[in-house]
This record gives sequence, C-alpha cells and structure tokens, in this order.
Amino acid sequence: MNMDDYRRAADSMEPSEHCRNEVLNMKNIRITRKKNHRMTAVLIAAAVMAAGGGMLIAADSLGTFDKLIGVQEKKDARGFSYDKYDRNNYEAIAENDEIPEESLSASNEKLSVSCDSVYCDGSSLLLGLTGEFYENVMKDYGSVHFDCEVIVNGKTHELRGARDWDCGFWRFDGRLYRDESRENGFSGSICLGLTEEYSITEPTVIEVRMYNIGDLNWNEPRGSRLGDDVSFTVSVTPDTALRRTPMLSMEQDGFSAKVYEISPACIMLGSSHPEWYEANTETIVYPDGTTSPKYSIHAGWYDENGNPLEPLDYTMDLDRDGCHVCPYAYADTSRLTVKWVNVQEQDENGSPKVIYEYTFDLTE
Amino acid sequence: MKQDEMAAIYDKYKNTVYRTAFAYCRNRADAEDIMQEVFLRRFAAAKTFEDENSEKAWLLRVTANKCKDLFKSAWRRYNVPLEAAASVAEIPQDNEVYHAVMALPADYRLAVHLFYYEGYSIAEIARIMRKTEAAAAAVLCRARKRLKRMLGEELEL
Repeated sequence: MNMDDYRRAADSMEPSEHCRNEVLNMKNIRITRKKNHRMTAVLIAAAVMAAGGGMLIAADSLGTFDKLIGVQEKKDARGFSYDKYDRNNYEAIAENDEIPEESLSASNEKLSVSCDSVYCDGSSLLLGLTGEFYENVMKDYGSVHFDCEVIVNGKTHELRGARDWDCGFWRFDGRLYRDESRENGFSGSICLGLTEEYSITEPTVIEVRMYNIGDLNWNEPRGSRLGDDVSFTVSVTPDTALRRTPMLSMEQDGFSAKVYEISPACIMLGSSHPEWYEANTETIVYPDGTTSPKYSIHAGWYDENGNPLEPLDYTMDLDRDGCHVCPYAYADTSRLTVKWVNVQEQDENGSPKVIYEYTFDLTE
Repeated sequence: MKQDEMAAIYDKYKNTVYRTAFAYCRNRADAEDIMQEVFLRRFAAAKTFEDENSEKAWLLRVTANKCKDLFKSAWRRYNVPLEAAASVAEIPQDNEVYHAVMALPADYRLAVHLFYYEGYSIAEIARIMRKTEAAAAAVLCRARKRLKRMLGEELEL
C-alpha cells in the first residue's frame, strides 16, 4: 500500500465536459465563491464577443478589485495616468476579498455608489466600490478623487486628517476609476490602514461618508463637485489569518531593519541608519567651491528578483522602535533585501553606492 | 486573449486545477466551480509567464486561494455543517489510501496532493499555500502521521 494508490485515483478524475464549454464560451458560469448566507441565487456571468475573433471577459463576472488590476498603467483620453500613485497590489487583494454580508448603496443627484467587495485582515481595510455617474463625467478623465470619512468602532478616520499613529490609521486614500466596460460606470477603492488600537478583530459595521467628490484628477485643478455627500454602511468580517507578523529583525554595524507585517494589502517594513551617520558633518568640496554633505543615506527594499518594493504612501512618516516604518505594496517573494545607499556617491554603473545590505529569508 | 489561446491553456491545465480543487473540496460541484473561476481569472489577468512551471504554480496558488475562500465564506459557514459536508464527499474509487487522504483536514489534503501527486517540494508547496516552509513541512509531517495512524505501518510513504 503506497501513495501510488492515491495517484491512480486522482488520475481517474476529470472535470465534466460541459465545464470546457462554459469556461471557453463564458456563458452561464456559476460564480459561487463569494456567496453570502443571504445570497442563494447563482450569479450568471455573460460573455461579450469582441470583433476579430477575440473574446472579452464579461466585466460583471469580475470582482471590483479584479477590475482594478493594472489601473496604475492606464491612461485617460488626454494621456494622463488614471493614477500612477495607486500602488496597491490589487491582484493579491482580489484573491482575498469577500462580498460583504450586508452593504447598502447610496446616491446623490450626480452618482450612485455601492460597496460590493471588502478586504479586511484586521489591520488593513479596503472597500471596493462600484457605481455610475448620471452624466458622462468620465468621458475624458480616468479617475475621480474624493474626501472621505470612515467610522470604525466609534472612531472617525478622515482622509484629510493628520497622518500619525495617534489618529488611529497610517494610511488613507480613496479614488474612483473609469470602468471601461460600462459607459459612465466606475470602480474604485477606499484604503485604510489601522493602528493596533483600532484594528478590526470582530465583525463590524463600518460607516462611510464620501464628500468633495469630483476632484477629477490629481494632475488637474479642482473641478466642480459632483453632488452632495454620499453615505453608506457596510458590514465587515475580518480575516486576521491573512496577516503575518514575522517580526524579523537585524542590527549590524549600526544599521538595523525590521519586517513587521506581511499581508496581501501591504508589507510593513522599517529601517534605521547608524548613529555615525546621524552625527556626521563631513562635506564634499567641489572644484567650483560649492559643498554638499558627504553622506545622504537612503534605505530601499527589494524582492527576491531584485525589483524594488513600491511604497504605498510617500507621505507617511512613522517611527516605531527607532525605525522609520513604511508600508509597501505586497510582493510575492520568499526573500526581502534592504539596501542602504549613499546617494552622494556612485558605483561603477553610475547608481547610488550601496554601503550596506541585508537579506531576510521569509521562509525560515 | 483569443479563444484558441484560452482553449490551449484550459486543455493543458484543467486536470491539474480540477484535481487540486477536488483534493480540497472533496466534491465535484465545488471543484468544478473553483476550476471555472480559476480559469476566468487566468484569462482576465492576461499575464505572461516565464515558463510553464510558473504558470502552473500561479494557477495552483489561485486554486488554493479560491478553495480557502469557498470554505471560509459566510454562506458555507452558516449553511453547511461539517457532518453534511462530509456526507456529500464524492470519493470516486474504493481505494483505501485515497479514502484516508480524503479523511484528512483540508490543508493536509492539499499539502499531500501537491507533494505526492504534483511532485512539488516543500518550498514550492509553501509558496502555493502561502505558508512558511516550516509551516508547510509541519502540515505535511502531521498529514503523514495521521495517514500512518489510519492505515497502519504497511503504508509506504
């Protein structure tokens, strides 16, 4: 008796032939993954045949976060990016989102919006939004921004509030993106990073108020607002298993770094410079007599393939245990390397010189 | 993506995805639903992969996630008690080893399937199941111990 018995049994199993037709024709596909206990109907996806023999995936069969995958690279009719600053790894988020068990949609005289996907690992909360403008405001624009207030466990978090640990969150942003599959339709997200004190550990009802809707694009001056405030509630059930807190740390030669948290929503990393650097006053004197500091040290993080991790929020400046802490977009990697470079000095390739580096093995 | 490309991908990986999903779900209906979703996701993602191994590993990672999503969904939590879930298991053959594997907890079944059927290493299983290598090794070790307990020492692993 051995595992060949298992292999033989597994070899004999094949999916029904009708599955092939359903997958390839994208007709009558039953989406059951995100059923909630009130939703007993089977969702039916439709297919759209594109010209030239190609096939488009029916947008309605995709979750909100699925539709946001790659939004950072998209450009609107005027050549502006939809939002190149949105660093979220929507692919990882889409693999772990849920349809909220209860969500109310809302509308004003210009738009309707509802929250139909939620990612929550307790520390990060992302609300996936879909909706429609009643006018064709997104004909030329790729994205619309808004101010927002979210009430979690009685604590009000404001988009335009101060960003520090005392306010209960480390990150907050919201945007709506043009949904190319629907005229006047949009998909979007509200992203909230919660500090330990305000983390969500139990099923919770979140109150959301969107206001100042219509800051059409970060590259544009503020346009006319798109109607009054829009408010809705959504119930959130956290899945804290999505978040790992390995708390790996190193300290060598005065350099130190820590891996605080890894989840599909973010990788929270911290680093600090040696004391000799903080106190260093050496300067470089150029031939024309001008001077500049000899050292300007910056730390950067890289995945196992040497690709730099994307900071989620450039404006964030947190300190924890003497480390400068920053959230980065999730990367599927088994190693994280932190490199300290002196930007005042170049290596043989003309890149800032690496003065120290360390690699964390995440599989240990 | 063109339909012939989609068909080629489907035909190449349908059994891999379906069998992995079945190992986790233990019933045909759920495994087929998950398989459909995985391919829907694959075609929507329009990703390019370095090689076949990368593509297969990506599909299995999505499969594992979809399986976990299904079992953690509120709908299933509220509507399918454990006894009922066990009773709908569709075990296809009268095969002692297969029955024993199917009687393991879901994570154990998935690890056993990936290791013994798909031939993945502990490190690769860890990546697919989004666990550390130590955690993946522990799951596999516990699964083996349980199989030995169920089937006796004559089971060769």
